[in-house]
Amino acid sequence: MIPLELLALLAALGAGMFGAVAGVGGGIILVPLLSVGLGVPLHNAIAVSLLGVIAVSTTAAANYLEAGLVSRRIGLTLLVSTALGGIIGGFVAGFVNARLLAALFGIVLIAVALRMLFGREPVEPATVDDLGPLEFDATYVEPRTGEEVAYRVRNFGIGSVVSVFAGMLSGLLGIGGGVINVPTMSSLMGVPIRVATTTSTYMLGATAAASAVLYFSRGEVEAALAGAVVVGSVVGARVGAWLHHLLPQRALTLIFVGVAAFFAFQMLLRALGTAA
Amino acid sequence: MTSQRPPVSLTARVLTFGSLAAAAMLSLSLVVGFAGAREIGSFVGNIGVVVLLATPVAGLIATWSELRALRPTHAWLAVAVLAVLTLATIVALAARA
Repeated sequence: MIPLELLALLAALGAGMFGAVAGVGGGIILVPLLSVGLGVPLHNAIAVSLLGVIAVSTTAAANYLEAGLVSRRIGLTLLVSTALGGIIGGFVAGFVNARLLAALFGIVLIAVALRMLFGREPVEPATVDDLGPLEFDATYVEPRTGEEVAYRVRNFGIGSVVSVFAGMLSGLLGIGGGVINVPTMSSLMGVPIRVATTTSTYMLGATAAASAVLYFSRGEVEAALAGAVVVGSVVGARVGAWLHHLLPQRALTLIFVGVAAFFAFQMLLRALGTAA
Repeated sequence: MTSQRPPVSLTARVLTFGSLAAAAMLSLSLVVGFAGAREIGSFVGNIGVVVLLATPVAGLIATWSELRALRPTHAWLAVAVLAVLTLATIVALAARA
């Protein structure tokens, strides 16, 4: 019989790869894969998924920092909110039963899939008009062209409020908050998508740590499972980041939507108590 | 505020070292566990988990030290995030007690 840890390693490898290729992070696939596919209790699956998020994001953030693609000013400001949200999410998860969490996960999976199918393109960054309160101009060097791109960051207040929800969702469901952080920064705050994704990655480690410590203190982190998930997620994310440029994006989106719909259905069945 | 960009290499090195050290310990715990020594594997794995949880904290401390000279306001943001993570640890310890 194949040990659970080996299966979890393969699941994390696949989820990490698929999450990186589809650009949504591995947790959103890994948690249902562990829970529905391998029978890991949902709270334990969420806990180890958070550890996978920390490992993947800290590794990637180091590279993005060196490349000058992270705005620490934006990241640190929003991190105060997302980390607070992470505490709330991680704390509340201790009182929420697995069926309710499964229902919430199913709904979020459907929302993410729909957004990937019908989401609007992010707005073009602009630096026109006078600076308003809590607005500032910034630049980054686009690696593909070598050009310096200027942008104006706005709506910090609303962005911070939304970030609390991103942190809560991350802590409750074990997914990276990127599914909310990236569209918030790019569409609401005027941050170029390149900087939004890298800055979100920079934020995810501390956000996930804020809630993971709560799961750890409740004894919901199983060390062997955590080892399998962390190793699988890091390797999978690396391979996925490499494959990302080679595979057709539209086909990947459709595959992701299909997989997400399947797991959403399974999670909702579990919430209704009609699945094992 | 100066237009000179603050350094990032310390934060990058701390994050890389922390995640690699944690991944190494967690890998070791897996191998030891597969070899049959489950208790030792679990012990090493738990240390790996703690190292992993501490990595973003160490990264924030490194960020603070890099920003404090050129961007003191941003450095204080790193301190604010560290305060929130400290709160998380306090809540976790209180919940455990």
